[in-house]
Amino acid sequence: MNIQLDNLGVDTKSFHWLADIWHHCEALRGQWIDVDFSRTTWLDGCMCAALGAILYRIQERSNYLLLNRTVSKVGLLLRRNGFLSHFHRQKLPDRWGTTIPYQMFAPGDDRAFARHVEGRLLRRKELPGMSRGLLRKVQESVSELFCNATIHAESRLGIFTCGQVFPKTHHIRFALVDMGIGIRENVRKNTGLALSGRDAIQWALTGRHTTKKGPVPGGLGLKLLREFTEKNGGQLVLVSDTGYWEIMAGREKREALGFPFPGTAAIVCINTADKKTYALAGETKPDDIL
Amino acid sequence: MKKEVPLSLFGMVGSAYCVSSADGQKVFRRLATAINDGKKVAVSFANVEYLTSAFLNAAIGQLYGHFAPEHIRRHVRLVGISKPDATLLKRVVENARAYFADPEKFEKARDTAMSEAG
Repeated sequence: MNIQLDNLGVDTKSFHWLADIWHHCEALRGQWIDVDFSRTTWLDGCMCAALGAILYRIQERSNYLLLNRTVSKVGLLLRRNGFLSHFHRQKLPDRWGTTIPYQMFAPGDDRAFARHVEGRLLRRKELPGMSRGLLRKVQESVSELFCNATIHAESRLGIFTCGQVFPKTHHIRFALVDMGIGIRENVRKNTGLALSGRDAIQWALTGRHTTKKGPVPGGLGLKLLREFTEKNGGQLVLVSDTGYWEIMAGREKREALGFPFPGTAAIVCINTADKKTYALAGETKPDDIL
Repeated sequence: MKKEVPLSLFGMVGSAYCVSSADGQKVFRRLATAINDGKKVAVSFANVEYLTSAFLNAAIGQLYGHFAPEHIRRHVRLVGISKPDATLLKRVVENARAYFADPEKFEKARDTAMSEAG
């Protein structure tokens, strides 16, 4: 079995590719699979989270993966961000400080994840201009994503993360991927609504909608993240089942993938040159809260 | 006037990262027990660096499924909360009040509380 990879960016086409790979490998057991990177001349570092999650899931079914023919530039990126270390290659130092390492976390390991974000994403000399308020919002936003994956995904395979820093254009892209039941199934199971993949994502982002039923209220995490990325001038992409949902510069895009993506991917792109004073965003008095 | 019970989030969680729902659950149990005992609690946000809605939903939002808002206001005082955290908590409280306005969800929360207590 041979998997031919193409270029991977944050777009519908790339997620369609990844969903297609899973579709063709889902039934395989005990196979040698050759993952061929020879046509991949460009890869957005954050997409390693989605690619890694799918390859992990394929491997978990007793298949054996061989990652081959990485074109030099892509190969260097994959060794610098530690992706290829998971496939028997030596990690290279990141001399330019533009990678955010590929890493897996156990669901529920929220504090380890928060420490990782602080150390590897926020406290970097490559991002000198980020205000304290913005740093805090970024940490809270990606922590909300992690909590969401822990609470809703029902995944035992872990949570996969990776990112990339673009100092010249002043942005960071960070991805968090789980191989859980997905938003569509979560909505169906808890509300009875039979929605398409993209409509289920839209539903989860609307008003006071929540799939929570128990004693702990919920349904705020994604909405807060959406509000923040819109205010920051960044981008938010959510992919789950056959749904692809994106918001950038106030414009929403909803598309359908040909095959279901086996889990949920969330990618947040942050404008690091944002000078808004998030620390003064609220004027709520403590006595008026409860 | 009864003495206030101090409850430090930093101390209970053992970290400046008050992010997980599981940690929020620990805080909720302590708070709910104190309120049930008729105590007044001063919840301190000192030394907390990061909060999430998931943590606050479990720690404080959940109280609205067990106690009336005026009862919570009488028994819980927030101390040292920063403006951004106050804004986030206000959203969590509004969301929780709307969530428990659904009688089915309120009854379920009450049942859970009674079975945990008994």
